[in-house]
This record gives sequence, structure tokens and C-alpha cells, in this order.
Amino acid sequence: MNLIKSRAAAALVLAAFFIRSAGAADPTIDLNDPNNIATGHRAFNTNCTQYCHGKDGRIGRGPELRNRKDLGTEEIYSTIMNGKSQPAKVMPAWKGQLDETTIWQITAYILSLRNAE
Amino acid sequence: MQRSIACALTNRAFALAMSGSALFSSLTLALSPSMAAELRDDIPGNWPMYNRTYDGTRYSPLKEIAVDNVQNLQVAWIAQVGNIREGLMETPLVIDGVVYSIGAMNRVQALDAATGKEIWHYYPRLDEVVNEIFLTAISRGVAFGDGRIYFGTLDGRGIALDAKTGKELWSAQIVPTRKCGGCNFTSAPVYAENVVVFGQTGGDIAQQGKIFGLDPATGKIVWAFETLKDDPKSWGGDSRKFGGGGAWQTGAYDPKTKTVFYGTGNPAPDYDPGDARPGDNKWTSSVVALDAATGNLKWGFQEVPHDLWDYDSATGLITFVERNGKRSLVHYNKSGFVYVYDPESGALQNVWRMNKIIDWVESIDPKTGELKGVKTPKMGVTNHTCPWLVGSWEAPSYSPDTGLLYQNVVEACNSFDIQRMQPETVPLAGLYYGGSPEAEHPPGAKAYGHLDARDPLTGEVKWELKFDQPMYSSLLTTAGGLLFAGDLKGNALAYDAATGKQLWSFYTGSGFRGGPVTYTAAGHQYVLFPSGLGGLGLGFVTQLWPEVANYPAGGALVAFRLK
Repeated sequence: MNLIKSRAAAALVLAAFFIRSAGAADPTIDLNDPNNIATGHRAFNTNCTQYCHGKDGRIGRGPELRNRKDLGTEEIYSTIMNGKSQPAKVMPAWKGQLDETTIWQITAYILSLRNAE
Repeated sequence: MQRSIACALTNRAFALAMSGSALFSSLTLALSPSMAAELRDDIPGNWPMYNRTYDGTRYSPLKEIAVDNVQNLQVAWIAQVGNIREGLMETPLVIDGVVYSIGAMNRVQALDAATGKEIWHYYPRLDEVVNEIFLTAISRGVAFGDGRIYFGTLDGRGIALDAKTGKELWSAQIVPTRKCGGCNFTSAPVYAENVVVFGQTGGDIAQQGKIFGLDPATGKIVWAFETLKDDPKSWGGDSRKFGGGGAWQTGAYDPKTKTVFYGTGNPAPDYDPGDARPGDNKWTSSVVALDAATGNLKWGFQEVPHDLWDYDSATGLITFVERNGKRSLVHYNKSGFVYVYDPESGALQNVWRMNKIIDWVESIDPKTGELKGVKTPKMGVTNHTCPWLVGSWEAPSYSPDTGLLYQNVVEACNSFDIQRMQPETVPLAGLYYGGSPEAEHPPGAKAYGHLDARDPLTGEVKWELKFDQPMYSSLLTTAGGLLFAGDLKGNALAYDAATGKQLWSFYTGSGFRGGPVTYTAAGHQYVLFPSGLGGLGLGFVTQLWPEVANYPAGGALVAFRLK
């Protein structure tokens, strides 16, 4: 009885792990596709650069996004989705304001800036 | 009769203050709310409205602090506003020894003006939408009248508080923030005796901006003026539906003619692909004079017809200057030009250049306002225009002693590509802009700022100070011969208003976007600086002055008095 229960419990934990990792962080598009990157670039320059981020990912009120090898896919996506809050500045949450595909495309664009000139 | 009562009461107030009795309660006994309303302009020690007086001069008759002793200013007290989101952009009010301050997220505090200690606070519960929209989190100030404090909120409401206790008296939903592209209120209302007037944001939003008159006692909306004229000749097709406009800076009120004056916002989209909004787009980028009782238009003048540059008129302030028995209304538009009007008829008296670097138009006829030699931005190319849309749009000051208007000016340009946008798809956190402007140095030169002392009617330069980095604070002049300003680094500054010589500075730790004020408390003159860098415009400023990105944020009221 105990063995069955503990195996079932282990299976549930394993299942939960996979479900969680297979959640919002999985890209729904090819992040390396130049078309997605180009669309993301346009979306970034339309939505993100009025007063906050610099054009093409340059520094503005928001930080420099070019040559940011420290920014991972999940972090970029999650920040765009959920926003960011500091005492003096707040980035709004774009979840629900932009569709998920657009957010992934912007993510693709920012990732493409890793080796920007 | 009123003046002598004011003097007697003011003397009594000072006597009470010197005797050390509870300043606030004594003065509220001495001045009943209805008398206070009439006497406001005559009480030198008060700063009872956004621009101090109905003339909008930001000039104080106080002179204990003067050219020969301002070097002896020292910090009297500091009050932290607690929430520093987007800094501190207010001009606080001071009435009868009480400071009324509004900080981030519409948090209002009443402080003892002599010590900075809190008397009461009111922190509204704002709708969650304020974290989703673009135009958040500041307010430029509150209004006072009939014993109430009034302010507009980030979630589209007007609120009135009891000035003595901070208790909420009414809260009125004026605009539906979630449904109007994030439209809301970020400027101080205007108390106009029988109505309190709220000008909403914004020209860069897909909505129909308005100016509202509310009953001060109940918050009921008495009238709403459509800044987007209901005329298909002004707005072709269905462009009026998302035409922007609004009036996002505090207007002015003339109690003699019962007229309310506002500068209106630009039309949306800011950058027009050529067919987004056919017509002159009245009454955007205009000065409008409204009947205070009805909100009906008495006169309007469109400074920038069919604005294509984001050169809106919701700027600075509307100043009334009296000279040789004649009264003029002086107004600086973002386009770089100052307009001088007859306030009663709206007749244009003059147009003069404030900015040096202007290329969007060759000239403006000073008698008719006609634009000559307009450089029309086009789709499909990168357009370059001057001046830059992020000028110094906070309040100037006019001193009747020097006869000069003092203004912070920014010399820079911008470039933009026009993009067609669908207004219905613009997210709440975005703007219906039609392109992304990028700041540029002027051709062959470096962008810079200057602080000017000018004749308000002719524009003649009396003196000018050049700075590598512009200032974005409001200004203050006093009968002590002083001009006060604050820079982006955090220096509170005093100049000789006659000559421009810098006489004093104090580093407060964070930069200035709001307006310094001066008042009396405990028998002495204080100068109060709202210190705390922030604001959405700074995103643009970093394009030309990248060092600003690393300047510390803040949110503190710093009060100075003589040793």
C-alpha cells in the first residue's frame, strides 16, 4: 500500500514538474526566424520606444538591451508579460495588451541584439 | 474694504504665529472659507493655487529673502513623500501655514509649513488600471477653494477632501480611463468659484479629450467642453472619434470676466500619414476661453492648425500681463513661439520666437498667426524638425517688478518616420503616436538649454543663461528680486532676477520637475522646493543627455529659510 502511494506521489510530482516547465515560458514561434525578429523589431519600436526604451534597444529610461548576454529567453518574455517594478520606475505588464505571438516576436528581437554592434 | 480686512487679518495671523499658538487652527478661525476665497490674492504669505494667483505669474510679494541675503538660506525641514515613482512633479500649495502636497499615485499630504510635520494624509485606492496605462504616476498639484482640496486622479476621477481633516467629501468618475486609451488627470484643477475645472490627458491617446467643470460641493459634472470640435470640416471621416486633444496642463481663471482659459493638447495621431485626420483639427493645439458657468466657448485660437509635430498648447501656463492699462494673455506653445492675446476678445496681439532653432515653419504672422513656409512631414522618409517636442513645458514666471517673463528653453530637434496605426489596436500602455520620434542635436550644433528673461509682449531678450543641460523645473520670482529654479542634477538655485547672476545653490540630491513656492510660516519667509527626478519626458532627455539615466530618483519637499 505504502509503496503504491509513494510511487503515485512521485509520479504526480514528476508530472507537475513537466506541466510547470511546459507552461508560459515555451516559445510559440521560432525565435531565430528572421521574419519573427523583424516583426518583433517593428513592434518594439512602435510600443516600447515612446519615452521608455531607446530605439533599436538603446538606453533610455529603460536599460541598454543591446549586447545583453545576461538576459535569457524566459527572463525577457516574463518581463514583457508581467512588467517590472522599481521604486522610481515601473514597466507596465504587456500581457493582455499585446498578444502572445507579438510578445514572443519582441523577445526574439531582443535576443537578436545579443551580438549587436 | 477687502484689502484692509486682509491686512488686518494678516497682521493678526502673524501676531498669533509669533506668540507660538497653534498656527493652523488660529488662522482657520480668523479666515472663514468664504472670506478666504475672496482674499486669496491679497495674502502675500499664501500660495493658494497652482500659479499662486489668478494672474498666473508665479510671483510672490514676499521679500524677507532678498538679493542681499539669499546666500544665508538654510534648510528648515525636509519631508519625504514616501512614494518616489516618477519623482515629484508638483507645485505644492501653502495656505494659512499648511502645505498641501500631492506625490506619486495621488497621495496627498497636509504638512505644517513651519516644521514639515504631517497633519493628515489621504492615500486613495486607485483602480488597478493605473499600473497598465502610459500616463502615470504623477500629479502636478491640487486646487483649493471653499475649504476643500480638489485633485484629479490617475484612474480618471475628481476627488474633494476637507482641507482641515483630509476626509474625502466626494469622488466622481469623470472619464473612463480603461475605455479612453488610458486618459486621466495629471494636472492641478482650477478652482473657478462656482465650478472646479479639470483638464484631461492627452493628445497622444486614441480618444476624445475634454475639459470638465464640476460642482465644487458635490462633484457633479456641470459641463464638459469638447476639445475636438464637432465639425466634419475640422475632422474628416471618423477621425474625430480618436482625435486626442484634451488639456493636460492647468489652465487659468479670470474672476472678473468669469472666464476659464486652457491650452489644449495636440491631435492624434501625432504624426499623420497624410489622411488620418483631414481638416484643421480644431480645437487641438489651441488656446480656448470658456464661460466658467457653462463651459461654452467664448473664443478660441488655434496656434498650430492641423498640427503635424506634437506642438500642442497644453504647456507652461497662461500668464496675464498688465501694461499701460492694457491686459494681455501670454502663452508659450511647444512649437517654440509665444502668442500674445487680448484675453477678452481673443484678438492676437503678437507672436514672437522663444526658441532660437526653429525650422518646422519659416515664420508666423504676428497679427494673424498665419503659418508661412510650413515644412510638412511626409510618410516614407525620415523627417527632421526643430524644435524638439520635449521642450521645457512646465511653468514660467512673470515678475511685475522687472517686467520680465522668465522661461526655461530647450534647443534641440527630432527625427521621425511616420507609421500608420490603427487606433482601436493601440494598447493601454502605448500611445497613438503614429511614429517614434528620436531626439537629435540641431544641425551643426549641440543641443543645449537656456534660461531667458524676456519682455513678455515683444520677446526682447533682457538676459539669457546658457546651460549644457536644460532645466525642466517651473520657475518662481519674488519681490526680493529673486528668481528660483531647479536643475536635473538636483541643485536648487536662486538668481538675481534683474541680471541673471546666480546667487545661491543647494544640492538636494535629486533633480527637479516640479515648481518651487514661497510662503510665510511662524513669522518668516520660506522657499519650498519639491525635489525628486522622474517623469516620462526623461526617456527622451536621455537620448541627448544620457547621463540623466543614472541620476538618482527621489521625492522630498525641502524647505529653506534664512538663518
